[in-house]
Formats: sequence, structure tokens, C-alpha cells
Amino acid sequence: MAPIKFDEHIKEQLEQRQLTPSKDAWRQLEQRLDAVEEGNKKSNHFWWIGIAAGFIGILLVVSVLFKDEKGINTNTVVDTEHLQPKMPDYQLEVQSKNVTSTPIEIKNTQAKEEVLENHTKVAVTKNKKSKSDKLPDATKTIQIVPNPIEEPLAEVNSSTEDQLSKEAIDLTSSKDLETIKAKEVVAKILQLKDTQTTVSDADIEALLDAAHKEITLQRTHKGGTKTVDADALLQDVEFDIAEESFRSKVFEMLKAGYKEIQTAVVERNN
Amino acid sequence: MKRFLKVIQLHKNESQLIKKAAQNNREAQHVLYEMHAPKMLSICRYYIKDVQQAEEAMLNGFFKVFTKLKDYKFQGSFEGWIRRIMVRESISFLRQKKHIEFPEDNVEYHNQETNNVKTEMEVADIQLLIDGLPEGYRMVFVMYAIEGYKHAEIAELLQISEGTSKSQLFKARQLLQTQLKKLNNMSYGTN
Repeated sequence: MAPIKFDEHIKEQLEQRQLTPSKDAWRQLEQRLDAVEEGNKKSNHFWWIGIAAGFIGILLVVSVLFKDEKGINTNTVVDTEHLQPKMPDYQLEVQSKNVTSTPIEIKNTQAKEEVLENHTKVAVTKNKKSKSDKLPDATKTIQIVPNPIEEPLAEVNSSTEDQLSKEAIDLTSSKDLETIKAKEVVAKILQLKDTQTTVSDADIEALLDAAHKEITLQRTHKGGTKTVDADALLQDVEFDIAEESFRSKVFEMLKAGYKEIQTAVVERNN
Repeated sequence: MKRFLKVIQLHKNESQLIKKAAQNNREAQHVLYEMHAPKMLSICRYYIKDVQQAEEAMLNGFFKVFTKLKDYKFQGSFEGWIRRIMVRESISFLRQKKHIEFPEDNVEYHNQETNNVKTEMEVADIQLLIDGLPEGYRMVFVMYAIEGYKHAEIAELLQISEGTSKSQLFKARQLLQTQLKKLNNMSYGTN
């Protein structure tokens, strides 16, 4: 028998054979298939969870972005340049007062404006400077100021009025101080005249300078405190301008005193 | 005519079963398993001497069949597709268990005749003869003589050269002849 026939015979015989697997075989296979299916389901769950998480994340990001955009819009609406001119003059005055750190609050009354005419001039110039230098500061003051605007103008704080009157008294007292000092200077000159036969111009000049220094010192240091008062500095500047008048006042007093002495001597001689 | 219609009906049923099994329908899978498992266990048994190990290889094969069923294109017979999977699983099972040797001695090819050799044997005897072959010889012989693989295919599957495949087949046949002669002598002696 040829090998091919032998192979064919074996093939025929073996092809007809069937072997029955054990009873547990299918159960084992089923368990393996179930395990794989569960694994696939779990992985599918993970996919769905991942997709859901991604979607939520996108929603959150989008909502945050939109929120930011809205916030930016509201911020840009604030136009300080347009707000600034609308601010009334009395507010500017208040602002300037706050800058000088004095506790005075000024409301829009005609009388106060008259009293503090000089103050407002300087205050406005200062405010202009602050506007040009620091714009955000100006906006800050706008936020602080509104309370006095809401209040009626009639309800002006009585304490502020007192403070204003005090300031007016200060101004008048400063004028009195000038006259007192002038009288002192005149008295000293007369004393010198009595002790010495001649009084030189240098002596008079020295007395005038000393008096001037004293006046400025007293004005700048109010009540012994070391805080620098802007009003005092302003008055100092004004005093410098009006120095000539002070000198003339002294000379006037001297002249008057001299005339009085002259008339007294003449009368005594008569 | 009736028989022809019955075959068509069976084919239709099998196709439906395959589609259901591909969708992880456990009942359909069980039916397909019951249909093909006895034959597939027999195929695995060609290569693996131990029946329990053959069954293990067969279960591995069916596991692959059901997990890869979506890849089945309905080209050729479904049994042929499962069979190829079983052969590969049996080979990989043997490779996992131990290193398979394919001894290459100088072989003088000559006409192999089985004259005076009893070829009419029982299946159990044939299996016994095949089991007596070394694993390398057995694999090549079964793949070529029973499964109908070409030497090129065998070489590719077993990762050997075609020449090795041919020599293994020749030696397997030589050994089978001597075993058959012995078997004949024994039977004649007894008779």
C-alpha cells in the first residue's frame, strides 16, 4: 500500500472520530466569556464616565469664560474721564481738603466759599494736579464722596461750621498778631531811642526780621503741635507778599508815635 | 431535493447562530459549541496525547472563536475557520508546555512502501501510532497528512524551513511503517 493510501486511510478513520468533552468544559468557557464581557462593560462604563466628565468640564470652562467676559464688560463701562467733570466743585474742595489731611468737611454754602476763597483756589489747582498724576485716586474719592451729596444741603454739620468759624478767628487773630508785633517793634525802637542817641536802619531791619520770624513761627505751629498746616503755609506766602504793608504799618506807627512825642514835647515846652 | 433544502436550512440556522453568538448571545454560543466541540476535541487530540490537555487547548480555541467571531467574514466553512484556530491553539499549547525539537539528520529519500502491512486499523490503533511519534514528527505528519496543509504553510506555522517540514514528514512515515510492521507481526503471531 502506497504511503498516500495509508495517509488517506488514517485521515478517513480520524475524520469520523468525535470526542465528547467533559461536562464542566462549557461552564469553564462560559465563566471566561462572562469575565471578558464584564470587563468590556466596565471599560464601556469608564468611557461613558470619561465622556460625561469631559462634557461637564467643557461646560464649566465655557461658563467661567462667559462669566469673565461679562465681568470685563462691566469693568470697561466705568469711564472715569466722563465721571470726573460731572463732579461738583464743592466735592473737589472736599477732595482737596482730604489731601491736606485737615478734618474740615465743607458743604456747598455761599458763606463758606467766601470765607475760604483763598483755600478753594489752591484746592482746585491741587485737585487738577492729582487728576493728572493719579487718575485712580480721583475715582476713589468719587466712591467715598456720595454720602454728602445725598444729604440735603440745609443739613450741614454743625461741627464743620464751628471749625470754619475757628478758622475765621484764626485768620483775624493772625491780623491782630501782626498789629501786636508791629506795636512791639515800635516800642522796642522807642526804647532804643531812649537808651541810644541814634537808631540805625540796621537795628530797625533786625527788629522787623525778628518780628516777621516770630509771626511765621506762630502761624505755622498752631497750638504747639508739630503738624504742618497748609493754610498756615498759604498765609505765610500771603504774608510774604504783604510784607511791605507790615513794614509800612510799623513805619506808620513809628511816625504816629513820633508825632505824638513831638506834640507832647511842644506842649511841655509851651 | 428534500436533503438539499435541509442543508440550506441548516446553513441558514448556522449563520443566524453565528450572528447571535457574535453579539455575545450565550445560548447561541452554547449551541455552536455543542455542534463543533466533539470534532474539535478530536483534532486537538491529534497533536496532544493527553485528553484533558487537549480539552484545555480546545477551550482556549473556542474562547478565541467566540471573542473573534466579529472578524469572521462568512467566507468558507465555519467549521474550517474553527479548525484552523484549533490547530494553532494546539501548536501554541505544546510550545508553551515544552520546547519542541525537530531533529534534522541526513535523510535518504526513497520510496516508502507499506506492502505486507495491515492498513485496516481501528481509530484507537491509529491514534496510538501517532501518539508514538516524537512531537515534531507528529505535528508535521498530522498537519500534512490529515489536515492537508502544504509544506510552506507548515513551515510558517511551526517557524521551521520547508526542508525541515519535508524531512520531518519522511521520518514520521518511516517510523509509522516500522510501527505498523511490528503491529502486523504481533497480530499475525497472535492469529
